[in-house]
Amino acid sequence: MRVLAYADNRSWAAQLASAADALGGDAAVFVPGRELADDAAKLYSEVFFSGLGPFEPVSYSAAFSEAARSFKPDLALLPCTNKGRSIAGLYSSAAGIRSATDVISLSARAGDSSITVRRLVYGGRAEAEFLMSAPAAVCVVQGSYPERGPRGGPGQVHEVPAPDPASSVDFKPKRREGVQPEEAEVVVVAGRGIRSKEDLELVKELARALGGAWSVTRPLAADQGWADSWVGISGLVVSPKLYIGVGVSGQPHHMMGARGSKIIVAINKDPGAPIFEECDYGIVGDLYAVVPELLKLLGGKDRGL
Amino acid sequence: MDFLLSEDERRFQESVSEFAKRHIEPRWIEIDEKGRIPLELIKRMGDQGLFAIPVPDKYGGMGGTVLMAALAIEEIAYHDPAVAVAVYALLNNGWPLALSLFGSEAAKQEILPKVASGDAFFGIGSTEPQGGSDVAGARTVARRSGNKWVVNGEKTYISGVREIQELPAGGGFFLVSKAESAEYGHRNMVDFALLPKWNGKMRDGWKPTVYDDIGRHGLSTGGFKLEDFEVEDDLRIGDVGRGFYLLMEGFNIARVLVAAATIGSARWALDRGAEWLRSRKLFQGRPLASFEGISFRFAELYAELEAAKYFVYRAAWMIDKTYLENPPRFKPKDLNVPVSLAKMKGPETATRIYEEVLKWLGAYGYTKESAVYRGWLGTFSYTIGAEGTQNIMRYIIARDVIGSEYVSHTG
Amino acid sequence: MKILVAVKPTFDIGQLKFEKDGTPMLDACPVSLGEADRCALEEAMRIKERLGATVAAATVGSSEAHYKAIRDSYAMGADEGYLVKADDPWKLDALSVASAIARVAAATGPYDLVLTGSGAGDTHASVIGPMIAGILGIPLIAGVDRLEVRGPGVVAGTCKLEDGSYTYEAKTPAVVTVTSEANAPRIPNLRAILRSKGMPIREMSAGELGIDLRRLEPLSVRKYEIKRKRIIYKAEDQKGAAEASAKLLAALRSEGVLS
Repeated sequence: MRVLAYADNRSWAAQLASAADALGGDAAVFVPGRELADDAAKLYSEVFFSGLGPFEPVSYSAAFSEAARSFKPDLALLPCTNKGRSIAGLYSSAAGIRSATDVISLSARAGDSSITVRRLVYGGRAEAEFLMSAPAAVCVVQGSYPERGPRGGPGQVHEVPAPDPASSVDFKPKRREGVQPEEAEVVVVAGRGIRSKEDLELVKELARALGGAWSVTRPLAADQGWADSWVGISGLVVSPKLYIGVGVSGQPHHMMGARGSKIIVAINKDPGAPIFEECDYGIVGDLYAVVPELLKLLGGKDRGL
Repeated sequence: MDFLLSEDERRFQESVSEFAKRHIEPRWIEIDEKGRIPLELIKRMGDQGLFAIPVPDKYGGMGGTVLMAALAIEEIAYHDPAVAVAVYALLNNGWPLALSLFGSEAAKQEILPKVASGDAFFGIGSTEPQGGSDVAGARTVARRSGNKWVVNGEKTYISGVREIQELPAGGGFFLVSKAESAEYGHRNMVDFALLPKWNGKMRDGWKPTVYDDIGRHGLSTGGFKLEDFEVEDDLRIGDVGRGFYLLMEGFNIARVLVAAATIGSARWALDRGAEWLRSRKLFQGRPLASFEGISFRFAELYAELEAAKYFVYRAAWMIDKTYLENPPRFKPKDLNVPVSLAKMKGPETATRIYEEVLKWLGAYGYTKESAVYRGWLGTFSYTIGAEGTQNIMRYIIARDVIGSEYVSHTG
Repeated sequence: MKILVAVKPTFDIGQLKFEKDGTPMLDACPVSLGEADRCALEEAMRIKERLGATVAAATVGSSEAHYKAIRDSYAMGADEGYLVKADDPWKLDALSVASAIARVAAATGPYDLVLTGSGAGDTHASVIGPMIAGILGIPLIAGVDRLEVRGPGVVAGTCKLEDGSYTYEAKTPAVVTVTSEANAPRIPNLRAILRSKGMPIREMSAGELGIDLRRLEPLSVRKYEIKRKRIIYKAEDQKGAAEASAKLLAALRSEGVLS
């Protein structure tokens, strides 16, 4: 099976490399810049890159399509992120091929060129299994595949000419203070149990004590304006080693953004909160009592992994 | 017989539910705690078309039905279990409809559009210090003087006394009074649209006071004295001598809407109760719902709530077929028993549900933090009175079913 | 200006229940116009109110919920409504839906903007918009929180993506997908609801649009089984909080996620 991945950072390049391994066959990757190409060459035997400016879906997908014209993949693998889905939509409609998003696992069927795809549906409450025949395109959920380490000699690097963007782009990068939730090994999330913007400090302190990142659930960002981004299906999808929800009730859209976490911990005073169904460890209690106790015990000596 | 709501009714119900979830639910506790509904919320409800729902389009109403009004009020109450906002809404649906049915063209054109838009309040002024149920014993008297009436008397336990002073246009009441003399009886009564404040101006002769209720704090209860208060004749509602009868027709409409508010609040309480029964675990991980003493009681209360709900819908439907259809399917007196059933069952079922849910919640329910007690106090007020006491409902049912010659004590 | 809004009824997944064998009980699950689609309609209505525009709503599917989605679009202020007939609409593949919408746009346009909701709710929605842009060969601005018409033939949208904020400016015609954070969609009042009942819905068939609607039959659809340990500690008071915290940290150390 020939697989062409799209990756715009090292983590995705590594995750999709293991996804490609699971399918067997030849794998290549397209990255949107020369800097990433060298890193990607440690993971893939063939790398395509294009000197593209800030993200603009039409030009990015045109460049990816150009790489696909050259590599002729049976399957395109893209991140299930806002950018990945836009590219997948543009690429698959231009190529007239089938696509699937929110894919959590893939396997090649022996004998024919079809792929068994498992994807999350109904907001993550159900899983559907499909047979897709090549050629096809899928978007893979963060954390579904582990990051594979480098292997073999550096891959071949090909440059693809950069198409013009279809829209002009004015990009304002996020102010990056400390570890970002998408990259952190520990993520502490504040939910509606946190009563005020000032009280977010409790969550930030816990994140610091654990050497991790902090974030919020959507209502705290979108409704209250206490943060710029949030963890959830329409926001950041994280897959850290440790996720701690502080006053988070565990609505499906939020949990879809955290499901890839290795260990999920919930702290909530409502014993009926849905998050207790989807956690490894939980404390039913007032976060305003529990978090200070955790901080006391963590104080000074313990820092996360 | 189709027991399901029509698609329009369902869509309207969903739209009100969404509005209430967005704009009322986040504030209901603060409204109850601070004792007022923000004027901005009232205006927003007016803009959304939640007042004067059954009033015809040409007077600024929504051209809907009383059933739709009942559905709206039920949804509002679900998101405002302390019921102040729901009662504000029901008053401004029921009494504008009564004005629309019985008032003069001039009064309707003048008053109804401002009530529909949320700029003015229109409620009921019936109860007096010496009695509420005994309307025939009213002592407020209106005396004709040329093209106006001069009214003297006192009303007590009236909702909206503070609100009409604060709203931009003001507002008033569907007021019942005696004509010319205070002599006991129901044949010499006359109704008015009494507007103590209108178009921003206070009128002389209206002396209000506001009371301090134990619940439903968001909507004021108060009283007022009328001292030579002048009312233009075109604000008279119906003929002299018809006052008692038109008031009773108005009460039928208002009572159904009151019942709708109480069942909406009760449904909220029962839903919180069900959540608690699922999640509260004792005696080694058993949910409270697994104890039949509790779950059987839940089933009984659920049955009562369903029954009360269908009483409300049926009575509202009959009111629509009496006043909003031509030719009418029913006569006003056909409404007495169905409406009384709804108003009897609704508030009583609500308070029973609250009592039981509070017991399930245990000591937590007894704390202010749980907020459930606010709904208990709010709905309880509707067992005391408001558009008709529970005993009057029983009286009406007994009188009309057994026969007034056996049951009546007014001769 | 002419704006086409592609809308779709979505399941209220919070209320989705499952049979004992894990099959979702879709028939019993409430369906309504998706939140992001309503935000897309709201953006269209704001443009209509500010600058004047005709707004058309289009959907693909013959279920009662699809007809209601068009009626609800009318109640929000849409002027025209198109429904591409399709039985068993929930299994339609994304490319078929996008092709149908693109054909409706070609047949009833020309449109300056094609809007649709993006993300959340239903997982299809985040690719339909890009696919429509791909088929029509026009610019795509995906995931806007803010949309403005900057002048005749020019639109700009601001998108909050993972690494920062992107503001795109494109010449129309363009496809714009709108997030559910973009605005608070208007709630139709009773008058608008009653008015929408009488408005005609123009039905179209796949044949007349010249497309094939393909369906994807899943091998299985099962409730997502949560495989988590669910070890819960109780903290009823400060002392309990201290004990539970100690137990939690010990457990996390043994899991190897804490040093």
